[in-house]
Amino acid sequence: MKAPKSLFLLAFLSGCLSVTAQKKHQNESAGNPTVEISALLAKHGCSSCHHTVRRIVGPPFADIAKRNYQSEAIVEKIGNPQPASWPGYPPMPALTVPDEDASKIADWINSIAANGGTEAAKRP
Amino acid sequence: MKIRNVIIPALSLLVIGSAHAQQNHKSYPDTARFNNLNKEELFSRGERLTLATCGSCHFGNDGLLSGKLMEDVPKVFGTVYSANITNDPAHGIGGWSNGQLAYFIRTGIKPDGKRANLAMPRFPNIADPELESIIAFLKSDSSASKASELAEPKTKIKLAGKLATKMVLDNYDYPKAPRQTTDTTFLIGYGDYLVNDVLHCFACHSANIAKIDIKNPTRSKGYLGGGSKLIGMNGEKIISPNITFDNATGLGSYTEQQFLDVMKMGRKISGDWIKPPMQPYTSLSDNDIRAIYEYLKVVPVVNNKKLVTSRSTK
Repeated sequence: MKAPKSLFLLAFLSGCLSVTAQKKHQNESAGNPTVEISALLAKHGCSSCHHTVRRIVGPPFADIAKRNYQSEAIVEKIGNPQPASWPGYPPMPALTVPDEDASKIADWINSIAANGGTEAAKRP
Repeated sequence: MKIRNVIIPALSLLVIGSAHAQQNHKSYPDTARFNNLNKEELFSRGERLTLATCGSCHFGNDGLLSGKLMEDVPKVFGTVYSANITNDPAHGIGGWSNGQLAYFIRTGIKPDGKRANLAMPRFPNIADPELESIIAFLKSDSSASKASELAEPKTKIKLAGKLATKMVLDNYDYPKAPRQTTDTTFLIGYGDYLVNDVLHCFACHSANIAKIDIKNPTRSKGYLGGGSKLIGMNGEKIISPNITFDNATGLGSYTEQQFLDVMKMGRKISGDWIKPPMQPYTSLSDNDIRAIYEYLKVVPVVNNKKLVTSRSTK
């Protein structure tokens, strides 16, 4: 009975790992990060929790863009997150990101088109 | 993956299994006590546990727990969508009683007697307090669990998937003596419970995801020693890290504070960040994470020389 057990476990676990679903699902046109931005998101740990249009741990970048924060405000919030603004999400830890990099990330977030993310699905 | 070797014996079990599922439904244990929960008191713990345990598979395209396509379930088993577990009575679990939900989470058996498919973990050893908290949260109108009418296409399980489910998951009956209390002050014991019965850390962090033992996690091959082949965000191969406290290939050099950092923020002591499929557990409390740390420290060390430490654990 070893074979089916292995099969099941494989399926069960790969089920748990369905984050890869994010790679080709819905709304990818919303604004994929450039190579430079991707590198910054990885370097500073953003991409452990945030995806452009899908919910992983934190809100999608596209939903942050819809809040119409000034880029400076986003930079400020990276270092001093306000979990109360995002009910339903676990709290974000404060991160130390150099202003120069944070500004580039913030500007990119604000460049994301409004047709992606999870909140768009609720609004006509 | 030699499916044909198991098809014939399994076919007969399939028939028996269907009858078995019906019987189980008739012998519902008393879960009525879950129907009178102090929802307000349980809510915040329930939110933290639900986001940590259910969220990664059940968050859908509207940001609610509305279900999504599970692209990583091998196609040989079928096409699986995680269920809508929001409070919608038609599309979610809004019509289930608390007791039915408790029974389902422990056994995988739905109120109609059918079993959840193979992608849904079973939590036979979860204790009443955690179960109550999760139920209180799921039955609330929170910004994750409020009713969503989003209906993903129907899951289609192929024969191989059905056989795998029948043969391996059918024996998750409701525990005769469910764990009723949780002691969160004895850290090693509480950590054992979180790692093995609630968060299922051993599933990804042992030697081979195909050789784990859900009922007796510590008997899993290479328990917590890492080495399992997983799939990353962009389809890339990820080898799970060794999370025993081996100095050379595991977490041996992590202090409690460094462990809190990697669990809550995702930052490793190397300065690298953890990557999907692992996620930072920002919703767990410091006490939860300390308990996991204390437990991992007493797990027998695995020196996993196969791991390239610079790229995995450290």
